[in-house]
Amino acid sequence: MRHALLPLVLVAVVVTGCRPPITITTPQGKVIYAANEVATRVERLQAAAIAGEAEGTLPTDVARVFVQFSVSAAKTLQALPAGWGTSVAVAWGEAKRQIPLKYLNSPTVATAVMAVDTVLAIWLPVSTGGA
Amino acid sequence: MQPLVLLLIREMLLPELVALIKARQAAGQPVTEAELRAEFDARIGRIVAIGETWLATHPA
Repeated sequence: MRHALLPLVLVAVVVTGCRPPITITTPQGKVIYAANEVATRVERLQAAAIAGEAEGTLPTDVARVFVQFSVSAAKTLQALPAGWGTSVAVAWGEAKRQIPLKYLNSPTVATAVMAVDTVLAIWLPVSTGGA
Repeated sequence: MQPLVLLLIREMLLPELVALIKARQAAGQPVTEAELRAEFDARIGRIVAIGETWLATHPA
């Protein structure tokens, strides 16, 4: 039963997560909402990487890649809240290529990595004018 | 507008909207665009400040 409900729950999460709250009505507000959604996941990724490095579960070189991406993505989101899409997606792809798979999948950051993947999949088309 | 539609809005839609807004306020989530903008700016500031401080203390 639980397995049957999982896809429905995921669809509900994605559908509700794709929409700004009803009080955000202007195009500018929707743009900031999307950028804030991405920034929220980037902040969690950075926090997880820094915590993982401090605990010794993530090598400093790996944490540095996550932190450099986070700072760069934050600056891009602030500078181009309506056009961050391609820059952030390319930077994220490059960051992931530099990190060995075992660290991308490590419990320390795996959830945060997946959250960034998901939020980019949801909001990238909006940012690049594809939706 | 038709009285029935007005009644429907007053009795069903408005309480739902007010409940949604109150729930966001209770959860500390932004409701207005100004609040959303302030939250976004604060978040970006935190990411950059924390990240740059960490990078400065963990040079390559």
